[in-house]
Amino acid sequence: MVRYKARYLLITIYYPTEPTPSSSNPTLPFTHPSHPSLTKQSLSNLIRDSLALQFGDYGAGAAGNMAVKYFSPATSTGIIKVSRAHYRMLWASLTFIKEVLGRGAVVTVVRVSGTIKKVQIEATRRAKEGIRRAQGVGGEGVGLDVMDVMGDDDDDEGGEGEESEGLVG
Amino acid sequence: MPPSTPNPRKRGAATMPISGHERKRAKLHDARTIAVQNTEQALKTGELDVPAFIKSREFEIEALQNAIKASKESSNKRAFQIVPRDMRRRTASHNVKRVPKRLRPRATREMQSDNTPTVSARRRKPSGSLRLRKETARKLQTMAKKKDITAKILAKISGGRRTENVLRQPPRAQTKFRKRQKHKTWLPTHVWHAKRAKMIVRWRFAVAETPTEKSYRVAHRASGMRGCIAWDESYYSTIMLRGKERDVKGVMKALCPKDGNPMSKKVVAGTRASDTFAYRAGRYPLGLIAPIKVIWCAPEDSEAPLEDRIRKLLIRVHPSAFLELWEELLPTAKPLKVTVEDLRFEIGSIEVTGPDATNSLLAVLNPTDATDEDSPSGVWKNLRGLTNPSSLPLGAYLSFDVSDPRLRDPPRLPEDRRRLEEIQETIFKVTSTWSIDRTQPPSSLFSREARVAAVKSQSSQKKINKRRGEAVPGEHPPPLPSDPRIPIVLLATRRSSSEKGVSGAIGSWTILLPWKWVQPVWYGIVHSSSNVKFGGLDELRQINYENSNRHFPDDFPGTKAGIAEELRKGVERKEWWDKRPKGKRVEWGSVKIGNKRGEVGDGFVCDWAYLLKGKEIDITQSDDSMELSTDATESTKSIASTRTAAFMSATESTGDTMSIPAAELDVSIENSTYPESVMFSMDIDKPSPNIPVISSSIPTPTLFKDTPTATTATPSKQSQQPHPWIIPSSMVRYILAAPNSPLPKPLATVHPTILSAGIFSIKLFFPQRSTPTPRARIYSLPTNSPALKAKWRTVMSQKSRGKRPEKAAELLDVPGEEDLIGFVTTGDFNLKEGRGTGVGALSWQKVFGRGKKVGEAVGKACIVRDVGSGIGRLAYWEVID
Repeated sequence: MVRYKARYLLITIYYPTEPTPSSSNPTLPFTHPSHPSLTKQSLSNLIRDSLALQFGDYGAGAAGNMAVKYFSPATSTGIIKVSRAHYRMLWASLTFIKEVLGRGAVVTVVRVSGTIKKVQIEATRRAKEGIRRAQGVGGEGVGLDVMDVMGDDDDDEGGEGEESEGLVG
Repeated sequence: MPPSTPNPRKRGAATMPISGHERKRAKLHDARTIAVQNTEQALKTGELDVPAFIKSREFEIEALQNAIKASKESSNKRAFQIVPRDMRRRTASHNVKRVPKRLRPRATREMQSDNTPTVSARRRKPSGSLRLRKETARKLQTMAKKKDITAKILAKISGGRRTENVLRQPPRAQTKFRKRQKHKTWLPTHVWHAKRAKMIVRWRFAVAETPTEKSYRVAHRASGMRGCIAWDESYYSTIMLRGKERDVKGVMKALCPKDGNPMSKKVVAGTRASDTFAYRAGRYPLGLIAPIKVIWCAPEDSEAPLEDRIRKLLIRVHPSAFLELWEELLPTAKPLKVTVEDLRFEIGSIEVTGPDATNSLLAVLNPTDATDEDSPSGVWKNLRGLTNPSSLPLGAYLSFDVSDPRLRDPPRLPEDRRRLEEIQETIFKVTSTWSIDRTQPPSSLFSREARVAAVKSQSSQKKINKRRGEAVPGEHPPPLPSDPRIPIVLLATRRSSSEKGVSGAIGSWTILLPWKWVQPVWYGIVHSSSNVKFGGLDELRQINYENSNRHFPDDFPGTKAGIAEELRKGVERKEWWDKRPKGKRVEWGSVKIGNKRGEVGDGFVCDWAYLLKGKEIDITQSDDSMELSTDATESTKSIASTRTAAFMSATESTGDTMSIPAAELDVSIENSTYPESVMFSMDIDKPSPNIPVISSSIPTPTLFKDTPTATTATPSKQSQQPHPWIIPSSMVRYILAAPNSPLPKPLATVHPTILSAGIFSIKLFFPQRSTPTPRARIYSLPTNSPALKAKWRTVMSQKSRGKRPEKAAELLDVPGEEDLIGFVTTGDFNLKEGRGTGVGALSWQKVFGRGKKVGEAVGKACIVRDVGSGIGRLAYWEVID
């Protein structure tokens, strides 16, 4: 029996064009919640549109088995499942998404894994990291070195996003 | 067939609205959905603030972790499937009581949701007339119970029953189980074993063949590396001899060989047990019955003159040879006024081996009176941490009384705070002094009264539970004066390892104890720690095989029991073979061997009759043929001392020995002292070389000095084909070591016809990769074809150069059937040695007879061919005990 091989992508949506709220702190850039109406279903449609746009009918068909397993608008984090053969195609089309529900957005892929469990663990780890950083900044100025790490991460992924935008533009 | 209305009593019918499949899907869907926080709560006016941020992350973490957990739990496993392998029980899928308590609620839930039928027809509540009938039956039973006269009846019978010189009947089984024991007897631990092992009926006992769990590697590990392995060996027969010391000695002299040690001073004094062989009275070395264990009871009255004291002696023998021994004992003992008592079903036994065996037993067997350090019970306490019972003095045994193991359940030893050196020092001190040689009391296991008292005072589990309930929490219930004292004998058995240089095999403990106490002690042992395994007959055979010991009766083709066993196995193999379709079974007639077709002899058994068939045996020549030629010894110029096991080192050495065929290296004139040294090392009265023994060493008769009394056996003329019989290994060793000397006395007086039917036990090992199977045929190097012989010799020399021969070069022709010399009785891949080895036997006549050159015979090269295959492999044999 041939086993169906899948890839799970952990994604985060950033909204860089949104104004940073005054009450927020500088250590948590771009972390805006998504609009409540952005559900698994609507996100799925969004991605499918992007696939069709970037790769035509072939793309829409090939990545048709894509499924959004989880999306939390509150944290703008989601998990997408796709067949192993097509995950790069999906990744590319995610990168090319420019706006989500009318807001300028960047979709980054944080982690790719063969099992949903590892993705869940990674998401948990990042959420914990976020809490630590938020609390650290709120209380005392702990978050400096963490900031650096975070900055690196964001540079990588943000860079990717910007590059893609440039291409599209 | 069109779907009819569903049967409400069938599974899956209870959940009509949704099918089972849908329900399962729904369940899985639920389990795999990750909860998502309601966004309104996280957002305040679409802006982010820290508390909301943290809150949302926290929610996410919890949701994801729950998702992981739910997904894991929703995998299609039911409660009884997640029970560890060794705790699984049969019918656990529809009986909640068969799963551990912590899983019962879950199992109940699953069964309800699945509509599992839990009530069998047998357990369904009876209704109507059936109920009335059952109630009446129960009432009658309770009424009968009130008039408890059974005890009185039993008391009367036991007083008057004659127990001496008669065979004992199996114990009366419980009414509930009587029908199931009509043609067999259950061991005391039968119910325990039946749940965990495959049971077979052997020797009129229901014994465990092998655990249901996978156990081949488990048994290997438990016996040699970690933990321990236990067997209920209550099926072993025990016979007690009682009489004046002189007479008992007389009986044993008639039965046992002179060169063994059942007569040595320490054994007769009752301080050591002896492993020896029983022969037909006065027929040594012919007529081997079985290997036996002889335990003398320490003398009870020391005032009486030495030879006139009444002495008791236990013989422990395998049940397959019991009747033969019994029938030999009775006529021997009768004229000497020695009584013979059959103690089967009265004395049971348990064997435990492995590094943890001593500690496990220490946790269970608590002496009732721990007096001074030198007494057996004191020594027993000091043995804590002993990993190998083989390191105790040869034949060591301890006899003392122990308390009820159920009172200290679960059996645990207190924490050992000593350092490793201290432990080793204590053990070394104990084993080197071995004060038991002075302090061994007469064991109460030999006394019928003590045994009966121990059994009669056995309290019920209910009473034990009550006492445990009343005890201070965390402590064992205090002992009562009425508590039973269980008489036991603890035997330390050495397992010899034929391989020199390989660390000695781990010995075993054998407990002899009253039959009725076997079960409580067994429960204690298997619960004493988590790494106690249990074995069946297969495991016992396996452990013996791994240590290259012969297993009785399988590896004793020269005994009646061994022959019967081989025949039984043959019938079993034939049945299996008959069931196979023609294309998938070996056609014996068309096996291609060399340039001939057809299997040698009967393919289902080790065909000894075929091997020893008289046509080639030339009786007239056999006498002078024993003068073994000396050309082999001339070639051994460089190797000084090449004993049997030194072969491998000789082949590996790089030097001028390379040019000499490896097979001829093993002869050395210096080795003539070898058998004596072997005997000394096995002699109880001699101190073992590295342990200082305080007690005086008594000179014992060396191997062949005694004149045999009745070995001049007359060959029976009417039987053309003499039965195979086993030549004692010591004699074969003697001949191998000194090939020029005449035959040792007992053999020299044996008639040549009978001598030609002699066989001796060997172990096989392979210089190249190979694994023999049981029944494999052993050939000598080809005698009739010099060309083929030269080819085989190149194979031998290839190995000695350390070069691996190519596969194509290996497949040489097997010699013809005139070169057949023996069979492999047990063969497999030996986990202990990491290579294939075999235990088998060779024909004396074919190896040493007919003026064959010693170079081949003693060189021990042979060719082994698995039954039903045409491929021969080079092997070397060596004599084992």
